[in-house]
Amino acid sequence: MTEQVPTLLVALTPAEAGVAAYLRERGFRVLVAAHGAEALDMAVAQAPDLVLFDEECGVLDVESFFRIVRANARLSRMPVLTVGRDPKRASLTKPLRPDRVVLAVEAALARAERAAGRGEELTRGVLGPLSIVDLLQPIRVARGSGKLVLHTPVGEGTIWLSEGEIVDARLGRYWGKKALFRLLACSEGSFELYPAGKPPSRRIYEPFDFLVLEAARQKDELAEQLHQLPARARFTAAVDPRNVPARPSLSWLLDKLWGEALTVREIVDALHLPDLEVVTTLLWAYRIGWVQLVPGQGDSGEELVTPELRRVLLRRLGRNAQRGQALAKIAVLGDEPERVRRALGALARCPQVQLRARAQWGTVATLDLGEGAILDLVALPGGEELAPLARFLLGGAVGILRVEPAEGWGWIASASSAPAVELDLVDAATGLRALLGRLADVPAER
Amino acid sequence: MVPRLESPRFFDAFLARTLAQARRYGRRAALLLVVARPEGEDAKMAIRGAALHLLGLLRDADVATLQGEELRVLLPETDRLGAQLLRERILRHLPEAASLRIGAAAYLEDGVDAEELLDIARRRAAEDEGTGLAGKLRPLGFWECLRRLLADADLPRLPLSPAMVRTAAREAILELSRASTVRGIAVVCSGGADEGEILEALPVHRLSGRLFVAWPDGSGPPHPSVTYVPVEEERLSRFDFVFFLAGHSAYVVLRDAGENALGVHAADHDLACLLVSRFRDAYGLREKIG
Repeated sequence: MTEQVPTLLVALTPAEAGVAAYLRERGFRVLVAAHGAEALDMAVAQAPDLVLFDEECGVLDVESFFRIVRANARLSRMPVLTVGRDPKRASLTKPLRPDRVVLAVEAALARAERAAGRGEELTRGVLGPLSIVDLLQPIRVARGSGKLVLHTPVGEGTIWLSEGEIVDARLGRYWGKKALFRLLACSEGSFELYPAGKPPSRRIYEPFDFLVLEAARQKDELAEQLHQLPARARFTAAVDPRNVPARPSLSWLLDKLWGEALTVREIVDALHLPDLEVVTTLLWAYRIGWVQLVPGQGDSGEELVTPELRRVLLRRLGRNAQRGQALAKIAVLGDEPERVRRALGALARCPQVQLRARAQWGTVATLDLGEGAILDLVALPGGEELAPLARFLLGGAVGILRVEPAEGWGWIASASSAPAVELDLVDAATGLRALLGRLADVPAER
Repeated sequence: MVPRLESPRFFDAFLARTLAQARRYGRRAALLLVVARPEGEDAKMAIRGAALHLLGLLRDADVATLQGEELRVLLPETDRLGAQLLRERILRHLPEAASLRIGAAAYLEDGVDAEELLDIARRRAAEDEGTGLAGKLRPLGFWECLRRLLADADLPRLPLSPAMVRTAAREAILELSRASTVRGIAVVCSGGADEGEILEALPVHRLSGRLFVAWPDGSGPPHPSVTYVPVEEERLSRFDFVFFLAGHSAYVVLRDAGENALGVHAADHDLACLLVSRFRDAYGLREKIG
């Protein structure tokens, strides 16, 4: 990183040695080389901001010095002022006047800085101690322009700023806000900050502060929403996109899923919309039934119970069970029949669950946990008129799956001491797994 | 041998031993507590009078004692369902039944030690007002009970479909077919047309209770847990009903298949117990309790 006090390397004849002291007095950090070869060594080792090289300093001539220095990538753009007797060849002529030397040095440093400003790298480092926003803030405060190049685990990316505002971003094949929000969510990798760099075009128009806060919100919300979707399951469109009212994000989603089955990650990658917008749209479309899970996918790879939990359930519930006999039943209840129906549909995606009937209520499914551990899933009918029937069906249930809202089921607390677990419409397996876990903790049947 | 009244001391020792055996060997036992409705000296006289008649309704293995104003009956090898059915039989057959309150408690289903069971039985006896729907129907015969139920304003009449009764019947059968279900009884009559569909729910293994199915000629497909009851054609086509009674739940659904096609239903233990008992009385299906 460029230091605030420029470092000068001077290789002068003894007659001009006083210049070094003068430059120090003017606030420069000065390294003194006794001759040309030492100057070269010191230049390579210390990478000064500027070299003052006397043609007569000895051991190494100025042409050789130039050739070697320019061949070094790190030093190729380092300004070198030559001191000689021929004004046509040298930058400064002898005898040196210290004040002119200072003017020439300052002018050369300014030129070098301007040159860097035209696209030269200003700073590089690793992310971690510094966040991406920390890196952008100085440019934002100075209302400057530049670009930040990032090498992150999600790919190579660039963020462009113009007059203190973020104007565009790119990450792999993504441009604009999708790229920006993904990059701002990164906390690992390395970066190069360039104080200039014209963006290819402007795709982002929101204010800097809004974008930074929005990126943080989207990161949190995305994590939460992804948690509600089965990661490994494949989704497909359940309705023809042409029959759906126009809403860009939704129609793009349905277009993508029409005739194709993709996982959440594939869907998010396939659409050029911010990730959160894709996931929110997917979740919404799934809940209203426009997008469905491909049967047989879901959490098929995961067992609902461990062998040990299965043994506990068998011991507690099935002491006298015969082959193929259900050990007990689990009640499923909720205020809205449509949501209960969808919850049962979500449960049916578990390979262990077999739907038994098309009936709205009663024993609607069987859960086969293997080794004879079979449980019936019994849906309770809602509504005051059917409350006696619901009480009958609830009687003896060893567990309860609630599909929110379940305001109308306040009496359950007094009618049953069975453990209850809330059932998520999307990830039903998690709720079921939680309930089975709690069944193992319930004291033996009385 | 007719059971006799034992001394309280013998009863307590027998109760303790029976519960210890139930704990050790996973057996069942239930306790019945009978108290007189009026209190004081009249109560003592009433309970003594009842005790003599009551002994005639008990099994040989049952043990009873009089302690103050309480008649305590220990029913070995009996669950809550058996105790409920005995309660119903006492209320039906005892001349003094109207002046009695009866509470039952079963080992494991209600509690595990003597004090706990006595407490629960005493509380249930105190809550037994005898004025519910079952109390009103008790003196009537089975079919008269059904007619009264469909006409009674105590239960709201609803437009219950035959499909709903069929599904309730199927659920009653499934309930009896689950391993953890404590013993139960179901009575099913679905207009004489849909029994085949209902019996599809019947598993090959034994049920944890008995299923009575109203059947035109009483000879349905054999099953170790099913009793086919030859119900008269005219009645079979008139009513659809399901009665389910178990320790943990009870349900009655009854539908008039006639012009109005309205029905009633309730999750009422007393009512289910009464209707199951009356049905068995009407068709000579008396079983040993327990």
